[in-house]
Amino acid sequence: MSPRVLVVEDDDDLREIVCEVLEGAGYEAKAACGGEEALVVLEDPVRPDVILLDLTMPGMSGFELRERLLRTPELRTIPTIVMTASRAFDPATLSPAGVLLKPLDVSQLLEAIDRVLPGEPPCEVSPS
Amino acid sequence: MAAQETRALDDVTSSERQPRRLAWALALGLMAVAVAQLVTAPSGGASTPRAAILAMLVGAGVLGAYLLRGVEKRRGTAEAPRGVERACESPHEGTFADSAPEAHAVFEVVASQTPIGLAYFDRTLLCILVNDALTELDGLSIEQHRGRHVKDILPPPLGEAVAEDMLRVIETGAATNGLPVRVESRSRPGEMRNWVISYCPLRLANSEIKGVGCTIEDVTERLHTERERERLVVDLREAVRARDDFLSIASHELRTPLSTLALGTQELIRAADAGVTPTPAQLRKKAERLRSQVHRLERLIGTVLDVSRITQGRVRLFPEQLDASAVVRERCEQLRDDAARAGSYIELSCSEAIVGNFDRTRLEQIVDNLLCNAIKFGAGNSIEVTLESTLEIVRLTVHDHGVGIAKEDQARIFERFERAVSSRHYGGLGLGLWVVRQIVESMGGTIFVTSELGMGSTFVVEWPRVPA
Repeated sequence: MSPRVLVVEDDDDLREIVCEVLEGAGYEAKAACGGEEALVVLEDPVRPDVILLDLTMPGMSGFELRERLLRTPELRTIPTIVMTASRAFDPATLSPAGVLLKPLDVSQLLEAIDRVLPGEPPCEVSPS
Repeated sequence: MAAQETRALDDVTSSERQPRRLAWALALGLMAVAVAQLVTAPSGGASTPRAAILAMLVGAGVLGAYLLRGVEKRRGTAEAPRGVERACESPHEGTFADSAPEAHAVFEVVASQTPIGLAYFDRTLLCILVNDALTELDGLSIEQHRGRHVKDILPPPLGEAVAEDMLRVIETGAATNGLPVRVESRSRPGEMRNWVISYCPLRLANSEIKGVGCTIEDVTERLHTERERERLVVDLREAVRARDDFLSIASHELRTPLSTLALGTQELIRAADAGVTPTPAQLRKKAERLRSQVHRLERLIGTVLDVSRITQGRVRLFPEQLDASAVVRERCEQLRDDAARAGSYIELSCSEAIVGNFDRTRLEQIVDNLLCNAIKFGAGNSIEVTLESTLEIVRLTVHDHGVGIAKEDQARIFERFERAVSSRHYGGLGLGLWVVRQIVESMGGTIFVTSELGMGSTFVVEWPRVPA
């Protein structure tokens, strides 16, 4: 069974291409365009194995979503990788499992996910 | 006053009494010896009377010379002003002690050339002397100072305050430096000036305080310069902070489309390496996505460059005869997809052609920035764009039904780097509305907003319709 990744990003193009990259690498990708939508996705009992989280988003921002996750016992254990363009981001504030600095790179993206997932990485799927 | 001056002279010269007594003793001694020798000398001797006469002459000479010098010194010192008395006590005593007129002249030169007001008051606070600089400061002539009480010279309540300070200096003998006062002087009516006054007691050798000397400096211009300098330092710090913030925001904004471009191109390379050939539709979708990011980068870079040009006061307009309605219609069509992605629909109302002399690029910038703003903060609701015109003006209205702007934020959103929302929720350079305002103002127009939090916003831009 493929590891599940929830991509929370408000930029449509970036969100789409991250999902495509992940699916091409053998992951099962789910998408949410903001914090509120992510919480709806997380209501599904089949939880993601890792969350890729953008910080700057309208509505519920990545900061607020992460704080909400940390306060929710059944969600706080899901490894969360923060995606940010800010060089001033202090990881200590949100205790993420990893930090990806934009602009993103395919290898770094996949390595960051593999690092926080137990076991072997999934088999790569040929990109369409 | 003459008796006082004589006493003062005695005080000044008291240190010379000891050598004067010695001189008197020497002269009288020589003369006594000569008289004794003449009385006791044997008759017929030639050498003894000659020596006695010589001794008498030397004694008389010493005595006469000393008396003459004493008279000269007494006369010269008695005529010298107090300033000179003080000058004789200075380390340059060797230069002036024997030349009261020279010392007086030096005092006159210094007092008349200094830009600082100088005045001397006696113990009863009557003005004894002032210099020209002071007359320029307070607008009174030398005659209007001399012999008048300080309270009659300075306007109340300053006169009372200065009199109090002077009396304290006379009582305590302690100088006070740099007391700031604000005063409206007769030389500059209706204008408050900043003076700094210092007081120094005039103490004689017997420790008696004769009066008080004052220096008065007008520091208004200096204070103004200092405040201006402080303001410039604050402005400079603020500009540096704003620049740093801008660089941080700009780099943040540039990295998001760069991410899409980087991932998109890497995906294409991976596909090519894997020998996968996408269908034309798939390829088009990927290419469109990349092109969209390139356009986004173009707009961002264009804005950054615009900021640089506008900041240097270089909003240049290149008007040409065109139909503003056509330009607005075209921009609305261009941004329709972006609006749709955000869940918004652009409703355009501009039925007739509005022909005039307009700068196409700047007009496009105005429409784009206002529409992008409405899409971003429109909360997925419809956006109404209206273009209308009279003979004199053209009016563009962009109305959204989004998050709205609080009253207290409505003025500052047109400032550089300002935004009415948290940067945690909305990206962007914080420059769009500022750029619009700069362009509109360079066109001789205006921009304003009406809004209510949670109820959407209406931006209205008006500019003169220059006849074609």
